[in-house]
Amino acid sequence: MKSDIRKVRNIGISAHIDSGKTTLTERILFYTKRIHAMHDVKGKDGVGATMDSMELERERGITISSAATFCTWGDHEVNIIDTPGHVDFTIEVERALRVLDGAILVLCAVGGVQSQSITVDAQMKRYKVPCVAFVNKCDRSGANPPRVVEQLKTRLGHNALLMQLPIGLEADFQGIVDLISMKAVYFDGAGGELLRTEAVPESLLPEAISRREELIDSVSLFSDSLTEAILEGTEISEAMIMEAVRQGTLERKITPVFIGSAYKNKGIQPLLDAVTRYLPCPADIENSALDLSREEAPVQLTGNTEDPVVALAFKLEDGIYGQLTYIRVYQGILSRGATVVNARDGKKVRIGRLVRMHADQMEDIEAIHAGYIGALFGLECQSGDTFAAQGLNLAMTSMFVPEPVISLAIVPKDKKSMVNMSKALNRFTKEDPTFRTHLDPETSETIIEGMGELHLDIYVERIRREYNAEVTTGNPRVAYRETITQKAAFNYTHRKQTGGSGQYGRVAGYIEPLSDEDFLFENKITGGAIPTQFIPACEKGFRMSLAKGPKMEFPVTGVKVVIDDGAFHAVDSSDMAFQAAARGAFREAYNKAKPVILEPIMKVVVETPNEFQGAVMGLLNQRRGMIVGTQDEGQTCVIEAQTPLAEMFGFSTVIRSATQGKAQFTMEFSAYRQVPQSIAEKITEEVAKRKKSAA
Amino acid sequence: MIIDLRRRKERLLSEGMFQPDPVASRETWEQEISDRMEDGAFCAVLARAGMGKTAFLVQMALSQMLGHEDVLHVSLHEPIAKVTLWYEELFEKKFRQESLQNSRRIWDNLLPHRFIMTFRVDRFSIPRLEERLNDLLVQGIFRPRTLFLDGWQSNSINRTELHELKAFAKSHNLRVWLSVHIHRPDSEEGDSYPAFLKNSDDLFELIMQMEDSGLQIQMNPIKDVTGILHTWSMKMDPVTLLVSAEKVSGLC
Repeated sequence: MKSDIRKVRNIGISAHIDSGKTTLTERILFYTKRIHAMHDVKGKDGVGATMDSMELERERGITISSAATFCTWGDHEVNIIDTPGHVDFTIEVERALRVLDGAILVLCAVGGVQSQSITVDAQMKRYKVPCVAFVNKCDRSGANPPRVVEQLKTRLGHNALLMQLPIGLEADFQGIVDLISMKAVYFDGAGGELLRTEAVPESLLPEAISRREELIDSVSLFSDSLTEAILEGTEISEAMIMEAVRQGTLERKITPVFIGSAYKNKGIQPLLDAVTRYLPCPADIENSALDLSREEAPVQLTGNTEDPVVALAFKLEDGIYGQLTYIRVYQGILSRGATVVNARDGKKVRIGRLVRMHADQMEDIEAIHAGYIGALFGLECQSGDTFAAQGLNLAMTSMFVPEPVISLAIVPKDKKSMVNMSKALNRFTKEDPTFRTHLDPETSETIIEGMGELHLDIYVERIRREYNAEVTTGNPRVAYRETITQKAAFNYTHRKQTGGSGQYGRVAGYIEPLSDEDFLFENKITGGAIPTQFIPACEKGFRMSLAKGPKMEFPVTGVKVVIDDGAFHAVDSSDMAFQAAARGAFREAYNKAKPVILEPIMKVVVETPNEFQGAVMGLLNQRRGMIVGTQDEGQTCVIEAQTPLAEMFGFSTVIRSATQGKAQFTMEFSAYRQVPQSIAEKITEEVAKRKKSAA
Repeated sequence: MIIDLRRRKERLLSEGMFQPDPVASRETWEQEISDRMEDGAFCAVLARAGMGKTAFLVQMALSQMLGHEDVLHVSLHEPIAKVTLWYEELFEKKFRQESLQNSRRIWDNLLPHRFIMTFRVDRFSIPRLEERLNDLLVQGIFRPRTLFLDGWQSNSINRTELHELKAFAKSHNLRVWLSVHIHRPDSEEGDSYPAFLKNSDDLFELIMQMEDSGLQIQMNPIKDVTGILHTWSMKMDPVTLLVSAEKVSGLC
């Protein structure tokens, strides 16, 4: 493996569905000689595109599996990472964007900037990923690259600069004019692999000259030498322009736009040149880790291969050889046979077989250097785990994993489906810490829990397709909680005499609300009113009561229990008796402590064109949303609101129809808040109904 | 045999055990200023950059919110997240003596009384603000009582726009607080009034200027048709950015 970090590019390819992302990736792999033949998506040869591994991706317009593949272009090494496109996969999005340094934003020359492009662009903005744009499908009827550039400016706010001009369009699309070299480039040969360079056609020359001037003028901001050359009227070299474009791209101040048709094998090689010229290498990006011994304080990583190793496992995949872990090394070298520590559990692990992935094939390697991406076998870990050299207590992502806020019952149709479903759940829970599963002891149903409606939806679909399990699901349920709002005393005696030795225990004290912890138990017994050996049993009894609140049977949080008195019997008192007494005491005090139901409140951020601002605020308001504010962003605006999760089911469909698909939103858990009385009554009814049907 | 070492009466819930909703009261000076302001009233706070104009406006806004009045905070230079942070930090400093649980409950009760709008400076105009406010009013989402306008560039304000804003405020029964950035040349000339105020101070009911006096930032009244500012000596602590006021002796 080479180790010149300046020659490495870790990029993502982001696009709206059907913009030709898969075809483009396929062509890139062909021209970089990673594959020897090209296959079309749904092509006649039945092979399908190499990267196109998941049907679901096409159907939903989102990427849910991060396949990473490696190729070389000239003396550069390029790792292409698939990027998840939906916000519900908070952790997965964060990881994928963390791993890549730059991106190609693929746009359709006919469709232009579409809703999915807006979503992926918003993610790249959020994670400050520099990008170049590729206007694909210039061979299609209605192709209009200048219009797409205009949309990039107006709809996405990019300072988009056309770097090429098309020679012909639609069925007549022949090649491109490179505005930097001022040459016409044609793509000959069966697969467009032979580049023919000629003079710019006369008909295009005036436009090419004026576009080139515009380009130089726009990028001169980023290069002193270019500005000087313009002012002094000296010769402007290609290298000067390229350097200025690169600088502007790295600063995310400009987006160079390239054009072509992946399907017709045109414009791909210049795009690869652009990736190596303008997108950042790992050394251009500052990466930081979190120091776990200093309350997750950020620590700058050097990127030096001489420093101790820090690496992030960003994706797990079940392959024919077992679990395959995709890993990016941020600092140091991860070598075969080395021992590193998993920051999550502090366990030492030995690095076994290291490979470099090319979609479904792989190549064995000895080590992965800082800035590179590879995969390894035989490593028991979870997605998002950080591996660091011994002595470093660093993590690449926060160890904080939010509690799931939504659950769903999932029932397999038959025994075979049950086995397959178990396999799937086992894998998914390993890959995604926000996805959990458990068995409901009352209904014996398998419950899956996650961070949003779509989050669970996608996993259910994957269970069906990838694991061939026929499953049915119940209605999504919000993870409500209960808590108390005031102090209440208890004095409860548990007494039972049914022949043989009886049970006796009395506990007295009070419960009160607690704001920053789930549960706190305090023993203020003096004088041995309850003997010390029974105190843990009391605590256990109270803890057990929290699992299912007496009011609505939701878990109880935020309760402090203080016991300050009690009584025991020399013969009849036991752990069991005091546990029962504590449970009774909790029930006794609970209703007096004015219990309330808490519901998860989500922070919802909607980005919408200005004309729909009122409509979107209305929608949020109807959903009991508290609008925090609105932010003017030029043609679009951002609306931030706090909305109960229970009201957000189906919101994506509603917002799509209300805004002609032009608005997009993100949703993340914010806090638990008390449910208003009227809603609490409704929840009570629902729970009663559910209990009745379960019985 | 039952051993009951400390026989006690059944515990009864005493009044002290109940925890009613925490009541956070407004400072007297804040209330007095706000009570004297009528619909359409204009108040301005003048200061050089970085002196604490936003902090002052946020405290006035918090005070209104504590009085259960809805406030619209319009910021022309900061995103929502930053404005929210101003509120959170000043609230925490102001209510640090409250228990964590109480202060959270007070905060939760305050939030529905605030709406933040941010605009890019170059895109802000009174008709645009009115359009946005109408979105809220028509759908019954929010009906503000006071508008806090922070970051309006004094060199881009003219009398026509102030008239527009006045008419807007009157038609929506709003009181308006403005932060006004004084540029160095304005104050070097010994004239603390920015150019636009010289021609338009008749539109303002209350104008105060923040001046650095070493350990404190003094809030000096420049114009006060209500007469209320002269009865208080107001200061801002430059460390906490909290404003405190003392009744001026001899006045009532």
